[in-house]
Amino acid sequence: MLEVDVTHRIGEFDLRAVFAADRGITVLFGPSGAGKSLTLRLIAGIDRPSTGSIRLNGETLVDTSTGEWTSPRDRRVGMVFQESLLLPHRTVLQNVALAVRDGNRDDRRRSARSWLDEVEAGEWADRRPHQLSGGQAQRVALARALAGEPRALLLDEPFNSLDQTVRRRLRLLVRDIVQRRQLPTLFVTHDPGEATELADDLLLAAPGRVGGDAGDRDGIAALARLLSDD
Amino acid sequence: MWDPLWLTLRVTAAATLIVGVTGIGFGYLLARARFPGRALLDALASAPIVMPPTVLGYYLLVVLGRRSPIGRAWEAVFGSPLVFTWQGAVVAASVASFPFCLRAARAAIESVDRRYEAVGQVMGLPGWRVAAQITLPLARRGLLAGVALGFARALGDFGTTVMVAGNIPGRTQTMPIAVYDAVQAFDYDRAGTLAFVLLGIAVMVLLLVRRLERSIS
Repeated sequence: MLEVDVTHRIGEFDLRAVFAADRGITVLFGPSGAGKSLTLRLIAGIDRPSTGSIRLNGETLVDTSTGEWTSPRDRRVGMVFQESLLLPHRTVLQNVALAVRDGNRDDRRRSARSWLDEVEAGEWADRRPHQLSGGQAQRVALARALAGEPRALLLDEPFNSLDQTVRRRLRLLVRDIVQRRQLPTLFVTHDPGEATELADDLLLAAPGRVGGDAGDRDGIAALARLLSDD
Repeated sequence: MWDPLWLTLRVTAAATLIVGVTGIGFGYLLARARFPGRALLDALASAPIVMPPTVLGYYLLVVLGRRSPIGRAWEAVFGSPLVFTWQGAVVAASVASFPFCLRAARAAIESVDRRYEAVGQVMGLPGWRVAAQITLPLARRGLLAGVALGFARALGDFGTTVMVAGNIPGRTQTMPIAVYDAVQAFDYDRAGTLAFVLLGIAVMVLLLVRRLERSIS
């Protein structure tokens, strides 16, 4: 269970995010600029919220009222961004092995290999990232996020730059993995089709609002706008 | 002919090593770390660029000379003064070329997409591993360019070196100084040979750097 109740201010932009996400896929749906990605960054610990708290399975990741702070590396969450962000100077296998937390070099490689197999990317293990297609690279990024044996998955529009066929296949893969691993998973998207196909739970976002009362007003208007665009 | 060449190679190699390590280290700090006195360090580190080389050399002579605390400490440890030795020439070449490497390294590190570093943090890597295994490798082309720039500046240093290490044939007379010396003595044959060899080294290193750059990309 992931519980988020934070505000964050960057310059003129104010974000308020209030929600809880259980096991399964919680889709964060809303227009770009709402603060969905920022919410994921706050959960991962890349940014610190201005006020509020975030808890994962009852453990406090951050609480500004008590000053508690868990560093990103100790949070054990897996994250995939819109771009794969694989390190170009390492092979696919090395990229994934870097995220494996325990064991010696051989253990980590073995573990990385099994994660690559899990996302059906085993055959590209020795390639360099630039030799992969967009969809292949995102599969590897997913394997890397899983390799740290995360307690939650944060997927920030991971399939946005891919074509529809590849997207569909990767959505099935994500569904499958999340079901098997019983991970609380936040999936950010502004694609209504993707949202409805993946969501166990749907969380609406409007500019400056994620969850909370965002769904009551602006979020529903945004949803209607997006659906009519398609 | 061989003395200045050998000396120049030795001094330049040592200076490049020193400048490479410190330039990249401080470049990383200035690009990524937030600490008090950062702006001051930034200004100080770049000061040698705007100083005339002889002025820089003069101040180094004051700071490292036999009567200065550093000079005395050096002499107490190594038994001989630092100034007017080849080691002094290394210090002079290093200080003169350090800011060039620093600025290039800093720019290269600043241009690394921070999301790669965020991925590393979220993956559970400690800060030093994010730096060593993500940031610096991603910046390596620019870092190489910075080291090459430092090398070039160290190879050609004249004013700072001549102030700190003097012009002692066989001991501190590097090639740029030897060229000057030969011209002063109207020995244009010697000056021409020395200049040609110096140019050859510079071009060869430049070609090597280009090759390395190609193999990186």
